[in-house]
Parts: sequence; C-alpha cells; structure tokens
Amino acid sequence: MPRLAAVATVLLAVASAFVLYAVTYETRRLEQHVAAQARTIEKTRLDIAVLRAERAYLARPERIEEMARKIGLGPIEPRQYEPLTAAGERHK
Amino acid sequence: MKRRPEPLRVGPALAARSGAPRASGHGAHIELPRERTWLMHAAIAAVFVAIAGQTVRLAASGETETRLARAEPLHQTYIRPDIVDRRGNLLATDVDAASLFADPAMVRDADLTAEKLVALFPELDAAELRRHLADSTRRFMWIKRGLTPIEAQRAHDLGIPGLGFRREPRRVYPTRYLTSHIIGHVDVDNRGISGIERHIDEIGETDAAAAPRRSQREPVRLSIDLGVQNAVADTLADAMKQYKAQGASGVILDAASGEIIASVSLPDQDPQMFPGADEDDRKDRVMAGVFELGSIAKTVTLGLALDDLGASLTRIYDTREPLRFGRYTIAEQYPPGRPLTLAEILVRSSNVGAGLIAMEAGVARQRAFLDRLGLLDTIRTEAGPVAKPLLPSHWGSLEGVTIAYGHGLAVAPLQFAAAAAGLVNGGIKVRPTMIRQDAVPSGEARVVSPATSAAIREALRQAVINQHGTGRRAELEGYEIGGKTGTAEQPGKGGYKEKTVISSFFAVLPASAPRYVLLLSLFEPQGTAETKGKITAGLNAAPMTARLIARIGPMLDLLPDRVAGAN
Repeated sequence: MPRLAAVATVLLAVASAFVLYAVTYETRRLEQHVAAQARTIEKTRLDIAVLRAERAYLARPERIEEMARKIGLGPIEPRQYEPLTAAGERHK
Repeated sequence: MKRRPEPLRVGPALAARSGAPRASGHGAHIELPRERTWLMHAAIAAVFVAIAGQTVRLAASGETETRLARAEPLHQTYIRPDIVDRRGNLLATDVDAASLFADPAMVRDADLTAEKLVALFPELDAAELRRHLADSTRRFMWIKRGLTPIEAQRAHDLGIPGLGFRREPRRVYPTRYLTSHIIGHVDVDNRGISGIERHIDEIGETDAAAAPRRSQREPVRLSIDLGVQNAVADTLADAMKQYKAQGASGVILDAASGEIIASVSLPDQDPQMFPGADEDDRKDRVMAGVFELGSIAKTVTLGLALDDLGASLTRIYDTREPLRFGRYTIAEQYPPGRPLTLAEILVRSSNVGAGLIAMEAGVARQRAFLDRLGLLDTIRTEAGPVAKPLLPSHWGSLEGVTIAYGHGLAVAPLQFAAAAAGLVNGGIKVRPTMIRQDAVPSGEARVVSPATSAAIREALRQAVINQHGTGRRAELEGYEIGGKTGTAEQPGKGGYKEKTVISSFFAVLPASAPRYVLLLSLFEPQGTAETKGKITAGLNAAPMTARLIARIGPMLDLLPDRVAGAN
C-alpha cells in the first residue's frame, strides 16, 4: 500500500511538473503577446499624434483663409445675417 | 515516500549493525538511528519549507523586477501634454522622432564619416565632429536630435558603421507663428523653457520617460480662440499696410473672467526659426513692451472722477483755459470754446478736462486709484511676466495731469486692457489669464461701484455715437460698441515726436452688458489719402476696430442686434 502511494505521488509530481512548465510557457507567450500589443498600441498612439499634428497643420486658419479667398470667399459681414423669422416671411 | 528510501540509504553495513543489537536484545541501541533519521527528515523538510516560503514571498512582492529596471542607465526625456485652444484646436503636441547618435569606438573612418554627415546636415561643425568621432575612448555622442522622417531616412541610407538612432519625443507646433509667442518653446530634452511650455513644467504636468510615448494627461486648454486670433492678426496686418504702420498689436479679453481670447503682435515670426525674437522691434508688444497709450487713459481718469470724487457725468468742468505748469502748457487739440460736462471730457477727449480731474483728486488719490485698478503692479500670466509699468521718476501735479490724459505712465497693453475691463465689467478686478476658465473666478476685489462702471460704459458708448465723439468711426451697425481713442506721441530724443505716434482704440463690446474688451494699437502709422494725411486714432485705429468686430462678432457668439433680437 505505501508503495502504491509512493508511485502515485511520483506520477503526480511528474504530471504537475508538466502542467507547471506548460503553464509557465503559456504565461511567457501571453506576456510576450501583451508586450507586443502594448508596443503596437503605443506606436499607433504616436502615429495618431503625427496625423493629428498633420491635420492641425493643414487646417491652420491662415491656410484655410488663403484657400477660401482664392475661390472668392471672404469673412462674413453683419448684413449677411438674417433672423430665421425673416427667412420664413420671404417664402410666404 | 519517506519510508521507502530508508533501507536503501542505510546500506548493507548499517543494516548488519542494526541487525546485531536486535539479536543481542539491547533495546536502547535500536532507538538511536531511528531518532537520527527523523531528525534528518525534519531538517530537510525545514529547508524545503524555507525555500517554499521565500518563493512565495518573492512572487507576492514582485520587487526584484522594478529594481532591475531602475538600475538601467537610460537617457531621460520628458513627455508633455498637448496644448489646445479654447475650442480644442491642437496648438502643440509630441510626436515620435528619431535622433542620430554615434559610437566613436565603432566608427572606422572619422574623417569620411564627418564629411558625409556635414554634407547631410550643413549646420554641424565639421572640425568639432571629426575631433569627437576620432576619440575612440568615447562610446556615445549625439550627432543631431529630433530628425524629421526624411532626414532620418537619409542618415540611415548613408550606411556608415557606428551610427545609430534613438527614438525621442519631439514637440511640434502645427499653428506655428500664430500662437508661438504665447506658447513659447522647449529645449532638446523636451523641457519647457518659455511661455506656456514653461508654465506646464512649473505646474508639474510633464513626465520623465526613457522612450517616447503619449502623455496620459489632459491637454492644457488655453483661453485663446485660434479663429479669433487669426482674424485679429489678419485685420492688423491689413491695417498696417493700409496706414503704413511699423507695427500693430491687439488683445481681446473676456471682460469678466480675464481670459485672453486673442493676443497678437506684429511683425511676428516663428521663434523656433528665428532665435533673435527678443530684439526690440520683434518683441511681443502686448506683454513684453510698455507704452504711453495716450487718451485711452481718460477712461481711467473718468473712473477717478466718478468713483473717488463723486462726480456725475453731467458735472461741468471749465476747460476753456489751457493749464500752465512753468514752461509747459496743456491745451486742447480742438477747443470747443465752452465748458464741458464730465461725459464730454471723454467723448471729445479733452486734455484740459482730464488734467482738471487729476488736479482735483491730487497725486495721492490718483495714484491710489491707479494702484487699485492694478495699473502700477507687476503682473504676470501663465505665458510669463508682463513688462513692468514705467512710472515717472517724480510724480508731482504736472505728472499727475499728464498721466490723466495718457502720458508719463507707460504700461503693457495687456495690463491696461485688464484694468479697463475691471472698470467696465461692473467694477470687479480682472486678472488676465491664458488658461480657459470654466467659471468666473470669485473673490476678486471690487475696484469701482457698479454705478460708476455703468456711467463709464455710457460715456464710452457716447464717444462712438456722439457726432463730436472721437471714436465715431468705430460705429458698426448691429453691434453696440463703446470705446475711446488714443493717439500718443512717442517719446524720442529731446521730447515727444509729433509725427511718431501710437494710435490705439479701446473698445467694450457690447457697451450695455460687456462681454469683451479690445485694445488695438497701430505703431507709427502714416497719413494716407483716406485719412487726409492725419494719423489720429479716430481715423485709423477706430475704423480698424469696427472692421475687426464685424468679422469676429459671430465667432465670439455675438450676432448683429437685428438678428440676435429676432431670434
């Protein structure tokens, strides 16, 4: 009986060793995966920052203004405003 | 498990010995080895328990990892939060950039390497570079930091051994010179050294980092409105051409919160591209320069008469005789030939009238009033200190009189605008700020009574709509503009120069319930056909202000009365 118990324990030990190594490797793999994901996220965030800077540069008011003036637009003047009520009356 | 190894370990010799006593019947001899075995088991078990305990402790605390990371010698840089305008438009951000370094020990041909690098980056010092690259005891030196992607690719394409790249954050300013004098700039380690950038460092909003990453912090939201800022810059630039001025400045403040909506100084430039921006004609006139602003100071003098002397707008002052102080005579530019009311002193911009008020108040009370408004303090904003007011070396009654109509006390336009905002906003002191405020700061001191404030606004409105008002060219249909002109002769060698003036217009918008104050100035404008050769503010700064308000009104959420009322 003690002999059987001993054999069982050894087998259990070996089995748990396998399980332990499997878990360890899986953890490492997942950790690498997480690290890679974190790098990708950070890289993407930095890329987004570049794109936002680019967008802000392209949308800077003096550039928009220059382009708008080229196609004949200009700053809005006070007389160009009409109250909504007046617009309604005109359509009557 | 423990039982089974026992016979194996004991071995034949020990088995024979243990067998012998048992045969001889001596019980005491049997107990001893058994005790020893148990002792050994206990000792081994104790060691395993200790190891297990230590493992658990290490696993639980996880300290070792952190210690290793901290011990690593890494170059430190700083990551910064974005800066945005009050509407969220991006003004400054960190981007990932490559920096080029060399490992001189790995560089084979220092001369050739230096030559190729200088061909790529002409700003590098060839001799210096060669000397450092030839020093093979060194293992690290920066060649150039913060490369653009194209530069980095070209450097990479050189294929020189011993060169390498390190990624670093680099600050970029998409709106460039439109806001650069406010935002300031950073050094090569991405630390703020001027303007708002420096403020961000001072309030601890930066993070040290070994590699570029995005700041997790909230963007710093300025009070500036980029669209309005651009409209002011554009209007001032047009006016500079139209009136042949040497420079121009403009500042717009929220009358209650002191938020700086726009602050422009022309000529301007990108301080990153032109490091000599501190030179006199290039400095920020709104904050870094002090000027005698002329008759717009009569707004303050009016406040002195109303609040400290208890006068009303209808009180009569006899302004017919010029004031004489020894060899100085202070006379009216356009003598009306009759006494003026207090309101008319402002509307017609009477120097004698302003002088009479100062003389009535006396130097001490005048000075105390200016001090209460904050015109004599040294103030600062988040963008840095504002130039200190320049007080007369001797403040006697003559100086009091000249200060009353705007000469003898030089202040930065921002400081004047803030003081004047306090006069018209109902009488609460205003502290100019560059950071967007979600609520009007409470607990600020009262500078004048609400009644005084209302009377000042009434007089400022009269100066624009009255037929004798100096500011009548600032009238703009649909917007209730109140304002005061100021044409200040600039001090030069041997007194004031008549033809060299600063023409300013101070405006409050709308006059009945002010939300904004504006102070626009033209520096050294020339007479043109349109102004009939004149250079007074009523003919250049006033119409310029009206043009600007027509353009920015809707941006500031102010629609022409006709429309705003109907909706």
